Formats: sequence, structure tokens, C-alpha cells
Amino acid sequence: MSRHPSPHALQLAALLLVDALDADTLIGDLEELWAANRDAAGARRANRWLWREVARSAPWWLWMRVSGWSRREWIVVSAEAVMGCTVAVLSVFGINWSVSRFVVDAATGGGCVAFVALSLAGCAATNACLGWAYYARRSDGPARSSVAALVLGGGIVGWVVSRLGRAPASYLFALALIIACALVAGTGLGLARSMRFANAARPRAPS
Amino acid sequence: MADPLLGGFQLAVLLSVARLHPDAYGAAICEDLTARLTRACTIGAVHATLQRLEAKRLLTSAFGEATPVRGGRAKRCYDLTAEGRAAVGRAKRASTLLWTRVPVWKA
Repeated sequence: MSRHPSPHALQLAALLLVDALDADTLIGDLEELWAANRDAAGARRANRWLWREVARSAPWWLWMRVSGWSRREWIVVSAEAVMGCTVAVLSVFGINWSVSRFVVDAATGGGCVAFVALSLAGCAATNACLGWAYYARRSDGPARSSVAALVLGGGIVGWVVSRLGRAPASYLFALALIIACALVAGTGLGLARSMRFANAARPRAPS
Repeated sequence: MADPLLGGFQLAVLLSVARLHPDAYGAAICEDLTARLTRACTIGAVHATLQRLEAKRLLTSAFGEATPVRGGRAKRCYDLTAEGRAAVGRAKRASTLLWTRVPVWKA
């Protein structure tokens, strides 16, 4: 019988959804309820219960996250999301089209540089869209991490797009890739930051 | 201060906190409500309600002990404030008034 019930993915899910300090107590409550379920019904059923509970609790946790926001924060996040979506769509579909048509061929060096620059813009925009703002609200220094993520994601996307040429399908693929890069980078760095906060603030049981 | 309106679940959580004091924390409240309301109670709903009640100043919280069964994580224990006790009293009086002269139906 497992002595450590909470799957790591579950802890990450909880950290995704609530403030670091609340997440810690919340995970503790989940773990305690899991243990009670395990004693009553076995580890497998307890694990199923745990996943169901996380799925059902996710909207509540999300509400807990955003309910503390001031009107200014709502405006800033909404504006970031709208601007991000707009810039992402424009940069991938509109500007890529104009670059490939009027400036240089996508397969040339100049086109590659242009694509990297445009991908950076798209990556920045999608970062803002895909939940980066949630973490940036209370962060002490997300800017450096975000620059690293943008350079990495933009570089990869630019290289891939330049390889693919000008086929219309490649733009869709590039958009998907930009979103995926931004999602992975934003989520990963945000989680790392949340976990660092949680570990620093967590009162530990005496051994 | 304006009288804060209490929803049905909020009142249930407040009463559970009063019952479980001084060991009223998320998991214990969830188990208590599941047993008394005879329906599954989501831990997320309990936490969100506790947070809302604390924002209304009806509850106060403090970090409690960290136990091995919780993976070494601390509890957040809740207690009713004076305003919370007054709100529960008002809700009880209102409920009693609403129930007066209601005929008793056969089950």
C-alpha cells in the first residue's frame, strides 16, 4: 500500500490553481482526505476519488485565484489577453504573409531573421494569453525568466517556420508551435516560481 | 456595518466551524458536511467558502500543526469572529421566525 498518496501531477495541478500558501494547506487537506479514503476503500479507489475531487474543485480554485484581484488587475489581464490574441494572429498570419510576399523569401537568411522576430512577438503575446499573467501578479522577478522563454521559444519557432517555407499549412503549424512553446515555458516557469514560494513558506512537521 | 447575507452553504460551513472548534480546518469541515448533509462535498467548494467568509470578517484563521498524514503540511484552522457568531445567531432567529406557524406535514 502506498504511503505517499498524492501523485506529483496532482500537486502541480493544485499549485497551478491557487496561491502558493493556500495551495500548501489545500494539498494537505487533499492528502489527509486521500488517506482516510485509502483506509476505507483501498489505494486505487482513493486515487480515483482524488482525481475526481481535483477535477470538481478546479473551478473553485480558479475562482479563489481571481476573486482577490482588484478592478485594475482585471483590466490589465483582460487587456493583455486581448492584445496577445491580436498580436499573435497578426504576427503569424498577417506579417508573415507580407514578409514572404514583399520583402524576402522565407527560406533565405533575412526571412529567417524576420520570422524569429515575428515569432518572438507571437510568443510574447501568447505568453500573456495563456496564464502567464496569473503568476506575474505576485512575482518578484518574472521578467528575466520570460525573456529566456521568449528567446528560446521564438528561436525554435523561427527556425522551424523558415524550414517549412511558405505553404499555408505551415502558418497554422507555426501558430500551434508558438502556443505550445508559450504554454510549456509559461506554465513551467510559473510552476517553478510557485513551488519555490510554497517551499519557502511551508511550516514543516517536527521530525 | 451592513448585515452580510449568508447563503445556505455558507451557513452550513459556519456552523461546522463552530462545531469543530478548535480543530476546524478544510478536511475536517468537508468530512463533517459530507456526513451531515448526506451528499458529497467538494473540498474546493469548502475552501472557496471559507475564503469568502474570511473576507466578510465572519471567520478568522491561523496556521495549525503540521502532521505526517498531511505530508508535513500545516493546517489552516478557522474560528468564528464575534461578527460571525452574531451572523449565525441572526440566521437562526430568522429561520425560527420563518418556521413559526408553518403546518407540520405528514411524511
